[in-house]
Amino acid sequence: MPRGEHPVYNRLEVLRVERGLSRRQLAEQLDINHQTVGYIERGDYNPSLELALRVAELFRLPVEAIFGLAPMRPLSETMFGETEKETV
Amino acid sequence: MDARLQGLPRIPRRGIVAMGLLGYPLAFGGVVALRRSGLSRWLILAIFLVVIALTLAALVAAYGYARGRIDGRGVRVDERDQALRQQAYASGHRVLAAIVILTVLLVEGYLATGHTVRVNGNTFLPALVWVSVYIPALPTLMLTWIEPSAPADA
Repeated sequence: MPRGEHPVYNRLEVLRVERGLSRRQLAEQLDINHQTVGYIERGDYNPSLELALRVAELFRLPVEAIFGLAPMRPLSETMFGETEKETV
Repeated sequence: MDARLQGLPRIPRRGIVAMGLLGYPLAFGGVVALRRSGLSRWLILAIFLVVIALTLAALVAAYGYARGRIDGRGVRVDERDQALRQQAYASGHRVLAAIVILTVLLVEGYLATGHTVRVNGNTFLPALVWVSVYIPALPTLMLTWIEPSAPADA
């Protein structure tokens, strides 16, 4: 990530692994180079809005569930933590 | 060969770029310094040729690493490659500006202390070769320098 740019956090790796996709397979579906997937996962590259929307469309999730400006909490904590709060 | 170049981590890549950038002035500066030392002409020539060969190898390796992405030929260029290319051109411009300003300051300083600068074939030709080789090569060298190490395949 270039200096001066704000970090964009993401859950791309978790979602990719969850769906049993390799970086190459995901890259093919997104029409990008497979290394770009790795750079995004590692936080070394912030995707464009267009690419972020394509990723969201592919995973059928809202874009803010995949990318965010704050460090991402584990998905289980996000889902079940909130459920627990609601039930209490 | 290409795949091995593409997989090079950042530190050895930066070594290649440093060799490519510094090798040429080092070779000519070395010849001037070694001539004064009284070393055998053949030994000086051998050292010069080795340094130039290493410089050329470094330039070829850097081109092998960045080609396609810098000239947009032969490979699929995605948005990250395009962003990297823009960054490489911008960095190349900054490096070139720094070199020009530094050279002007050094020459000015040299002239201000009462020295004279003589331009002849021996000084003009290396400068001309430097300009004609490095100005086109700078974006390639910069892309090779700035790209982070590739993530391991998964």
